[in-house]
Amino acid sequence: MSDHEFEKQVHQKMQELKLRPSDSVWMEVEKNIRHGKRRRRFAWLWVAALFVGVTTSGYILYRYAWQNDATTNVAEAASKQSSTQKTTGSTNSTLNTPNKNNTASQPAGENNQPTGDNTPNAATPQTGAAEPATGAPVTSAGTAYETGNPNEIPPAPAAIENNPANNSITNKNSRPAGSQLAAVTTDKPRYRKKKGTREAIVRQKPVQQELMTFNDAVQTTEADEHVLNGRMPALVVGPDNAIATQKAAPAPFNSQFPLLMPDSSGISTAHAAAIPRRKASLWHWGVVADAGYSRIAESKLFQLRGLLGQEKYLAEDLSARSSANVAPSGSGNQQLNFTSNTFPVRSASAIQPDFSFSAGLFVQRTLSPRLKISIGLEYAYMSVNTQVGKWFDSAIDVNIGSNNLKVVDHFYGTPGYIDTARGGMYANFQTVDQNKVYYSQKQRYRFHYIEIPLLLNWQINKGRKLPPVAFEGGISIGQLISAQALHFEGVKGVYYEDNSLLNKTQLNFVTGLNVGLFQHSKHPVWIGPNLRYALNGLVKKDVSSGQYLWSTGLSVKMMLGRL
Amino acid sequence: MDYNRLVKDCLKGLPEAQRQLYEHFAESMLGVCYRYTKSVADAEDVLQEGFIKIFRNLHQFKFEGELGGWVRRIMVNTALNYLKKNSRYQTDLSFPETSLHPVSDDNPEVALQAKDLAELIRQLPAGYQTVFNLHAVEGFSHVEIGKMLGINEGTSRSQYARARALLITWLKKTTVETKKETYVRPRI
Repeated sequence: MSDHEFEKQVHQKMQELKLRPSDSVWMEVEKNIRHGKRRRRFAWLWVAALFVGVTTSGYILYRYAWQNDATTNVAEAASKQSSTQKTTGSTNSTLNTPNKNNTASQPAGENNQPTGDNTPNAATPQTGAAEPATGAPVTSAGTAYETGNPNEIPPAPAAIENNPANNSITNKNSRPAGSQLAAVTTDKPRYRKKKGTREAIVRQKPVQQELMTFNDAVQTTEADEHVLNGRMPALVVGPDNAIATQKAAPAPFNSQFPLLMPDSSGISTAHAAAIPRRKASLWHWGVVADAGYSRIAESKLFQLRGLLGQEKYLAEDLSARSSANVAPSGSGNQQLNFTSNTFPVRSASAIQPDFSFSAGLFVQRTLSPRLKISIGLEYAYMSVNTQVGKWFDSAIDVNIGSNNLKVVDHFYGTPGYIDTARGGMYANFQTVDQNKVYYSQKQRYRFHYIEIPLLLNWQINKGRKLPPVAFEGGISIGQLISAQALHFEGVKGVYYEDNSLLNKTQLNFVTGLNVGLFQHSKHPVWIGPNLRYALNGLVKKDVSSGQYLWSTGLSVKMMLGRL
Repeated sequence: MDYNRLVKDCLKGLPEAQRQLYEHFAESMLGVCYRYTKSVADAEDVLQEGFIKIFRNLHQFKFEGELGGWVRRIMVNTALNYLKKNSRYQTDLSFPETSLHPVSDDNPEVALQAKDLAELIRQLPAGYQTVFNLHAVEGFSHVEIGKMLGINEGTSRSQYARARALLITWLKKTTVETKKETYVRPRI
């Protein structure tokens, strides 16, 4: 300030100047700061509600899928028990005296080991011992249809239901039971082809494991039991299913359950002939890649103007929110003096879309036939470009945010005419001058992210006549690993690089629509458009009113196998 | 007043503290805004915008300097941004580039009240007014003003000298007329 007396007096007088603002000013201020807070709070509530909704839905679907698995397990265990009983019955007709052949009378090792030959008679008596004393004779039907004799037909489920206690008693003339189970297990061709080889197969899986599976499965609710009991005999069984039904349960579960309970000595006496059958894994893995273009939207979330059109966004002026006092700096500023007679208001160049792609791996779990959840690890590259002016290798201080000032070592000017005769100063557009050179160059902003996407995939149609179509949506968390980007400072009209202003972590909303191809091949492919939209700003909110990076393109996902 | 506690309470979102901070600075800050604008409505707009900025960026206050100075800087910068963005001020905000400016060592006594002096300053053309406020009242150097407004240091000096000369002329005239008890608003 000048040392003149006049300035001192003016300064002193102006410090005394106080005016009372109208009440509406505070009301507007208060409304604005409250509104901002409320909006931010609701935004988080919205995200939280979405998260809770997705999680709850996933859990319910998971439970649903688990119950289906449990049903399958129960059915499998029951079918195994049934087949064991049948096998036993064919070789030992004195099993109606169960206590006679207790496991205690047998070496423990034999319980889990079949005899090895095709006439199972040495190891099977224990199975008979597991049965309660029903007093009913056991027929040799199991042996008959095990050898593939079509005339030998397993017992009918209806007949067995009428006598629940008659667990292992079979009727030669009745129809086979549990074809539904056979349908569930779906390995009946195996038995048809490998006659007499079941003993060898049994060896692969311990009986105890089967019992555990069964016990776990039986621990369902009472309602589930009713459902299971009600479903079991409801199938129409054809003669061809007889072979498969050798592993089906001929009796309701509630009557079979005691069979598998430990006896008084604490040793499980049910020595079911286990059937080695690995349940298909619900986990898949594969690779995913997408390619398209990316853009930067401003100010508003989910502002997709320009998705397909030609509208462009300008680079945000980070000094627009600035209230910093510009301090003296180096000589770099001298090169940016305007010759314009008007107040220099400089606008940024338009931000143009540019190439983007991502690639990575994912694992996917099937929750239900139409619903899947997946998580992955991807590398994502996104870029945009803009036009900048001449490059200056000199220091300049720039306004950042509301009250910050930073000195950058080099910067770009805005595109325009440079007067080479005046040491690189910006020239007046109106004047004709031989020394004017127009500087404009393309500058590409590049962003490299590592992302973890978490997606729910819902198949819209059944995909029988038409290819399956699936909608997927979710979130991905991205970590910025590298960036090459410029920020715009409107007061001086310069572009400068400062990666510390960028948000390192990005939360993205991801959605897409995929069509399934080659679904019957070993490696099904899903292809379709996708959209990735950042939910938080590209630049820190302290200095930016909001720049949102988003990309869209074509996504290809290939399943490579089960886990 | 314990400013640190007041700021912390504001950061906690306490409405009473926010109101107290506003009440404490509103009158003096409206005086600042008033000097940069041409109407009370514009001054109140600047004041409102400035306080919104203050509350949104209060977490950036470092508790190192004076809160009053920090608030004042934000208000001044808000006023400058307002002038840039508002088309009504664009035409008046002209800074003819010249290295010649009147030099005056005249230091008349300012016998006017603050409000009257502010009225005179507001009668200056917008460019003169801005530079005069930044230099004479806020205390920025011409180099700083040049960077803030994107003009040459010489232009700032020239603008200031012209503003000063004009203001002194009006002051003298106004003082005489005040003595005659007939105040006449000076014409530009």
